[in-house]
Amino acid sequence: MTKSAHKKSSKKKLTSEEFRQKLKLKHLESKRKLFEKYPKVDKFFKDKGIDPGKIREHSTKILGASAIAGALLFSPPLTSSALPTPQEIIEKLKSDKNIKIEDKQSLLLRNNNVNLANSLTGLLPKKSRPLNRNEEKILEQVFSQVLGVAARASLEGEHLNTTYGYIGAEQHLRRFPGDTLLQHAPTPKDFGGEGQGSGSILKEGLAPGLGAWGYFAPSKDALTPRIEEIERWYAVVQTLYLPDWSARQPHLKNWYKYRKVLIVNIDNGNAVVASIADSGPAIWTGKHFGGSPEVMHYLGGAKYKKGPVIVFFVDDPYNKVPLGPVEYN
Amino acid sequence: MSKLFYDHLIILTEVETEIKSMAETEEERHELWQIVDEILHHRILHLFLDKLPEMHHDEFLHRFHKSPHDENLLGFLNERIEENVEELIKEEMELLTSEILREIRK
Repeated sequence: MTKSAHKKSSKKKLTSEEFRQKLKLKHLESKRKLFEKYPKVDKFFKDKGIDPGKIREHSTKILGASAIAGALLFSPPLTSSALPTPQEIIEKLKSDKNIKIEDKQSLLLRNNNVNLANSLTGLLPKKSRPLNRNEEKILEQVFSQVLGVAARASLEGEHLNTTYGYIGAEQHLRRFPGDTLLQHAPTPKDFGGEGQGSGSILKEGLAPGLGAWGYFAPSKDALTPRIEEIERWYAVVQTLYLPDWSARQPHLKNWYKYRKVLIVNIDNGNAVVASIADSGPAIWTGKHFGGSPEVMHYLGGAKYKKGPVIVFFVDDPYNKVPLGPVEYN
Repeated sequence: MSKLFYDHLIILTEVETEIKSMAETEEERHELWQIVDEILHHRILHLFLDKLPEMHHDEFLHRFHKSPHDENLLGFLNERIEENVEELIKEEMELLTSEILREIRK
């Protein structure tokens, strides 16, 4: 569907501005119909000083105020008292590992993944939602000791709107003017290269637009292995919905640019360190994060399109943590 | 982060795909997303008021204004609307998706 929709839109060559105008007309029409049929709704929202179309912003303000009040007034929520301590989780992982593992590295890794996934499943609420600070602290310690990655839900005072949500598949990003999909084909030494078939890495295609920070390099000649790694292992987060996104520019945009994040698939324990290179997805997609074709392939396999994950910032002031798959301690 | 009690029922993936294929910059993309977001709130509110008996309109509006994220609002609506509210929202979003895609392909 995605590909056919894309083809059809390309044929019509509707520009962004033309589409914007059509959407604006639709917006006016939906608002007019609502207020014509229900004038009291118009009056109600006018009295409150809110546009019903901007109810999300209104909700953000309410939730922001609640969070501040909660931080000042509340003790840790009752649910956290039933949670295992990080040490308990880690000990369980170690003991399970000793029981099940002989001397095969692959088996060790697989069992550790499964054990971590099982532990996360027991730790996390069934339905994705923003985690509370206690839950996040436990996960930080588990990730540090099990994965060996210093991951933080909050870093330098910054925090995503949610650290637990759904990730969706994204396309490759154009790294420089003139970049093409075929130039993203992995070499035999790259992930998805030898033995795995580059087709699965290329099948998502090349995004028509640029990432949130434009081209990664001004030309092909300026492309470096580091830049290639950033695009190969890129993540998408919803910076645009951060409550203070507009008010704190350009600081936030600079802070998030290529910021490293740890992404953990809670279904199988697979983990990857990725670099934030785009903003999205739109909130009405049912997804909270996005991953490059390589990220998604590693997290869940060639057919993985969407799934629940944890996303934490990587505390890496000296840029020592490599991008890509995370192997277990 | 879900900010509205019906967020989890809103899936407009195909519209997002189209926007991503058209918008050349992040700013353009965000503006288009924002317009779609506002349209869907109008449509959802219209839907609720159409289906909810008028005697409950005021209470719903006050509760929605006070706590737009409150998931109990879904229960409030389901108790007072004969049809399944989740299904109604999904149908409305499918309709909206087809309308937007039609506009694109005109």
